[in-house]
Amino acid sequence: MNELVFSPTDFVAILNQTLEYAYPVVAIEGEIANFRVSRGKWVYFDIKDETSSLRCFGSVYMLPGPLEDGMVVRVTANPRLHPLYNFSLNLQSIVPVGEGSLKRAADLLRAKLEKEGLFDPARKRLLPYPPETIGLITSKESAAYADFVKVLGQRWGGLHITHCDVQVQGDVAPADIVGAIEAMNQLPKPPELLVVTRGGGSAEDLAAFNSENVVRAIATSRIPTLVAIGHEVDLSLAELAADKRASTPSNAAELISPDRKHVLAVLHEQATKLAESVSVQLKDARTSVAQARTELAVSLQRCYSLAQHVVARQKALLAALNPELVLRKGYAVIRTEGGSVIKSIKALKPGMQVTLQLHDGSARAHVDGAE
Amino acid sequence: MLDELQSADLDIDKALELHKQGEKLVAELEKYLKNAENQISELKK
Repeated sequence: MNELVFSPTDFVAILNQTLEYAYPVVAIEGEIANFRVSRGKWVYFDIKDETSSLRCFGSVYMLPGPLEDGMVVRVTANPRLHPLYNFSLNLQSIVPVGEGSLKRAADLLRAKLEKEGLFDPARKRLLPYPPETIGLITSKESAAYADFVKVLGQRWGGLHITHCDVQVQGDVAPADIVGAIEAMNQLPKPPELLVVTRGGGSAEDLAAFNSENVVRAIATSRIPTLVAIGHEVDLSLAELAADKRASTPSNAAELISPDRKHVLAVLHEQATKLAESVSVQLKDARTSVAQARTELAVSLQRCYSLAQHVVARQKALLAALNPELVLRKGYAVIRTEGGSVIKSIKALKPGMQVTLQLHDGSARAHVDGAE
Repeated sequence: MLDELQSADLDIDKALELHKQGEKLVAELEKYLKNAENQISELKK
């Protein structure tokens, strides 16, 4: 039997070929040990169980968020034997698994993002109410989608929904959700409001909404955001970063739309109150007008009586000053032939023709002499 | 007009003219008063 003899380089190459053929990509779950980040760029740690430990290597951009020793994670990686540094798993993705690790990962990320101010109440914007256009990011097949659309339709019609169908759980969910948020923000006419929602589930089901990329995408969205994940008791980091949080998909629909029935009832009540108020004001106005009318009549009557008295007095005085009354007493007006009044004897000459005007007629006369 | 009618220097023709004008004026004022009386009656209804 011929014994195969390899050089170290050849043997490393053969082993890598074998690994690439048999296990190009492996998924391994285990606990993190010796976690460290080098130069802010590379991440190194061991993944281990009770008896074995494997070295992992990757880029920080693959991390779902801050990690630490003791957390249980599932890594997807290419197994490789390095010519100098021995065996390692070259990371493709890494996700925390198990409720404890997921919670711990979320806590670490929360602390980090809180420090950056992503959850600061001062960053929260007011949501349009009701928005005319809504960008809805959720799975088309989910109960969350059906509940949201149903409740919105029942409460207030006419709102335009642009839906983006995404995976809301699993490895692809974070990238899917981030892509949808970015796409909505880049629309030529973006919706007035973004609603990101999904129904309840296990901690692992909801993990996408605690991933750093999703939380950052929500926090930096130019469109105001409303996030409703899971049930009332579930609180994801995505909800903390949103402008507003709703407890459920149905609650999200309730928060952004008025209830048509309630609005109609309020309008009816206001219309009744308005009619009553107008009626009272009208009645008061009528009373005021009647009162003013009476006062005006009294005042005018007083003026009228005064004016009537003045006119009567002037009329009597005018009658008393009638020049014809003097003529009635026997006086006459002497006029020349031209009609001029003769006021002096000096104007009379013997032989003149004059006219005598009396109260009831006139007569012509001849002047025989004047003294 | 009444003051002028009471003037001692007033010419008889001027006096007759003033008196005629005065009577016209009184008739006009009485017409106004009648109209005002009707309006006040209307207001009292």
